[in-house]
Amino acid sequence: MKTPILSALFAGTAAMLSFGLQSPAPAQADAAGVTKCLDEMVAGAAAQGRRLRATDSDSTPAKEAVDYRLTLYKGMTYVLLGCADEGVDLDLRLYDSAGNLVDKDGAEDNKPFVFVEPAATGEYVMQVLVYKTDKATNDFAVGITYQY
Amino acid sequence: MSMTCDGKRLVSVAALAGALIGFGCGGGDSTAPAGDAPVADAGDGGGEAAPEAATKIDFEAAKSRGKTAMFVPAPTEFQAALKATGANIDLTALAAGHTRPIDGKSKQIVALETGVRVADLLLTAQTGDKEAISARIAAAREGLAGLGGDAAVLARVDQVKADFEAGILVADKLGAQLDILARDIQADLDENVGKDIATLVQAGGWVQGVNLLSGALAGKENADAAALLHQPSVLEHFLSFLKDSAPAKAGDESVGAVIAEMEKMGALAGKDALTAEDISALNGHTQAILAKF
Repeated sequence: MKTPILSALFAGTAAMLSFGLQSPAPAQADAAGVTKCLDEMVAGAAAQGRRLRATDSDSTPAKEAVDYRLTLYKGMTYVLLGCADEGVDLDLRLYDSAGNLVDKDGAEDNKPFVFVEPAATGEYVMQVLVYKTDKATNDFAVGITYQY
Repeated sequence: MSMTCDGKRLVSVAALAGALIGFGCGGGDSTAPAGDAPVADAGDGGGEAAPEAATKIDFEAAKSRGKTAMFVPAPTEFQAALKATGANIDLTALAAGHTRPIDGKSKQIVALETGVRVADLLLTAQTGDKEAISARIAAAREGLAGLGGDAAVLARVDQVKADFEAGILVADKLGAQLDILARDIQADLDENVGKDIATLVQAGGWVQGVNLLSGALAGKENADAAALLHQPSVLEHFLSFLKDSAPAKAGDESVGAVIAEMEKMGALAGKDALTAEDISALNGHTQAILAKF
């Protein structure tokens, strides 16, 4: 169940999308839903002054993590975002260069996010994991936004 | 360490909303439970489910298999990170530089130059100088067209430019709009033109960011700001890519010259921290790379 504040946020997002932040139909038709879902989250972040570094989409079987290398700057705030199909439990985890878990969103839903203020400038790894699903493979989209 | 928004859904939802509306994340728990015994790296897991996220992974192994689609900082991140250090330096004023002609250049050099143009555009998008911004949109489009960018993406660039010039798209919304467009340009190049070209566009933007930042820091003592230039893994990412590229293997002179300068940057990146002299040297190397475009 969504809280009212998030519903309001996404209502704002919808308005912003209609203002012109749409992305064209993604090249991979089977990933269209998750890409659209992520773009809505990104637009919501942009509406609050966050900038987008990059996004990516991929697919994976359950419980096979996909790793992403990230360079993060100390002093900045980042929100790592993910989206999968409805009914899929998608998790995000962030690890520092010593391999220690910095933060995670392991909640049982398809729209995880991790808000992080890096303790040090350097390289990190974000793990994307489809934890629960009834599908053989699962499309997901992830993105990274930043702000100072 | 980090603010924490993990855990139950309601906590996450409220935290995201709070974060995005500027009140910050309401969390505060530490997510990496101190004292927890390390568990297996979920990424190595095969069919076994990890009930909780591993508190410790083999970072080098994760790095080696890690995707780099979101690895390189956006050019605008240099400006934001610089502000975070407290340095009173405005890169946007320095990004006004000149574009280099692309006619007759190799596709690799056009890609690097296009990356510079996109970086300049992103950095200056919110300055409000309408005429200059329009010119930068046109310059970025020229580079993209020169690379064989998709007609639909070029049309979107045209639409953004027209909307901006007509006042439909105001300056403070332009940055976010261009972020999305830049992302889609990268995706288009990656899919329709080639991963090598898409990576070179990204490399051009990164070199421009390093050039602007190192130029701005010349003669200034600011260790935190200098640390922003210390990016050995990003440099190694681009250098490895360039060395493995077909033009480099075929002995392309321009690409070879860029590699030579990047190798000099690599020698600096191997240091623990950068001195003022190192920063000046970095600026010289990036300037030399840009001069090859």
